[in-house]
Amino acid sequence: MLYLQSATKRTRWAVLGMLSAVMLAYLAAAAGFVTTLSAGFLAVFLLLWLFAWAGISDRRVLLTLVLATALVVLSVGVPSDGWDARSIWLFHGKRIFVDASLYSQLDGYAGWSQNDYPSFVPMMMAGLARLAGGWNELLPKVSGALLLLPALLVIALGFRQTSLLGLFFVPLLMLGGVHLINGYMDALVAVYATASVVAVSGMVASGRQTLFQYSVVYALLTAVLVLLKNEALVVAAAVFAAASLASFIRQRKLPMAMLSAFLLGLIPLVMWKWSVSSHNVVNDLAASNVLSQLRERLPNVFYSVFILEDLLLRLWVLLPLLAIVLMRGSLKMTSVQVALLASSAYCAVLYIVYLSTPHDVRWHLQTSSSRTVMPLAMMIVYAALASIDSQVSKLPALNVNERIQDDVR
Amino acid sequence: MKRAFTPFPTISAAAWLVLLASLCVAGWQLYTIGEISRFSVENAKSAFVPGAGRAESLPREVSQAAELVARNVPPGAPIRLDQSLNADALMQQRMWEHLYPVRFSQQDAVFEISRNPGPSSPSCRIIERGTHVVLAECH
Repeated sequence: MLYLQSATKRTRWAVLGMLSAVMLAYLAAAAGFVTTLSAGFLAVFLLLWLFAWAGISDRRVLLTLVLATALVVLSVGVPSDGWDARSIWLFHGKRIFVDASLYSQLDGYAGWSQNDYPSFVPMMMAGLARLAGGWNELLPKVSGALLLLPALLVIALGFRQTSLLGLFFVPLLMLGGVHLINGYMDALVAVYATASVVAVSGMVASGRQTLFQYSVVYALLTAVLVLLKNEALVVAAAVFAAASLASFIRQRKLPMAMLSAFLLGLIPLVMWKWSVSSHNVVNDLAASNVLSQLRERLPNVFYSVFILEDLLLRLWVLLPLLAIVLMRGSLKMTSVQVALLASSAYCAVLYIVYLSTPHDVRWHLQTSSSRTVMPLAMMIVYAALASIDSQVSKLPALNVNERIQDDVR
Repeated sequence: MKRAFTPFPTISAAAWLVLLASLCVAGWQLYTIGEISRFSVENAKSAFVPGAGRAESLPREVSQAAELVARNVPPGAPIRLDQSLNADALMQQRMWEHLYPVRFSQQDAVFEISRNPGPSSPSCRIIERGTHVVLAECH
């Protein structure tokens, strides 16, 4: 399972560099250096994005870079007309760009634009516009597609077989769809959640000898994930809880390295939440009466069946689950355990959220479930393909081939 | 001489087949995403031009309102939307976000944007009339 170790050095450095640069850009913006230091770190991120091409001798890296580049090109050439993309993310990005402040959205203006949402991707949008010399309706939303690369590379290096990575890209594109390029955060959340599963599974499998690199990658992935949107904190917590449980079962000990990395990854979000609360900005769902909605809907089985049916009766949930069940010994794999536990925990939270929504349940599901279910489906798809990957790699002839490839690396 | 059985060629061929099939489906998916999202090479070429993509991304009323406001409203002055535009959530949100840093205030503003033909109230003076929207000063 120490797949991250077998990656080419250049790609590993590119992943670490990109995640570090983009996080430094955010921290610089948080400290008030939006126009100078933050834009500079963003330029470093873009340079490292190009540097990642130095790892294309690894077919997995090549495949990932081709996909990421295609998504970036598509994103540049499509209009920015998605409702949430414009009303929330691009609007916040424009406000940061115009006012040169990461906290611009916290002044209470335009309350419909979910002003409590983290401004990480909007910070990137503002930075891109600054580097390009002005705001327009095409370039800023490319931030999302650019940010996919580091997480996709982490996932790519989690596979041994290039063919299975290629197979993973099919559900990735089908699940993410237009949300991979149109300035929405949901596909990014799903990809970063899956990358977190890969990194944290590596930590669990390596046990007490957890490599420092795993911890850093996991901390950075968590930091980016939780800053994508509010709901992502639930996904990150589900992945951490699942990995902690898997680790505790194996070693009968609390995984301190994992805990430290997770807590470190939460620091930027805690800083943001502190700013939000000091400006008295509240979330519309948080302001609703959750308990009374639950009390009203929980006794009615119809609601529960309706919600669970909508969340789980999907091709990219059922098909990978079937593959995992049919694959011998797959449930013993760390990544499968972590992905399944995290998906179950996240699904439980989604169920409670929809059951307690202040809106009409049917309307809320129709307008959002295809997006909120993405992390759940993508983690299960990864688990199924990682399981097949592991089975295929155990075949004797392929093991020889793998050893030769490892020697070459 | 009889060759020893090895699963390697079979697996390799299967792997290549899986990879090729996946790449075909992924390519088709990318094409579909581009089609649904109205990808155009012209857009991609103008990605670094300030203000590009406005016509493709916004309702015509919004782009026109931005032009009228830029020409006639002094910097820092708030503006408002007439009742029908304000009640249309799409128009309201697109106006607010696209015209930023111009701010909207239904209570304090004297400059009002309305759909053509504009306000009929005698307390309003039409400043500029566009093909879709009208900018007026209402007291």
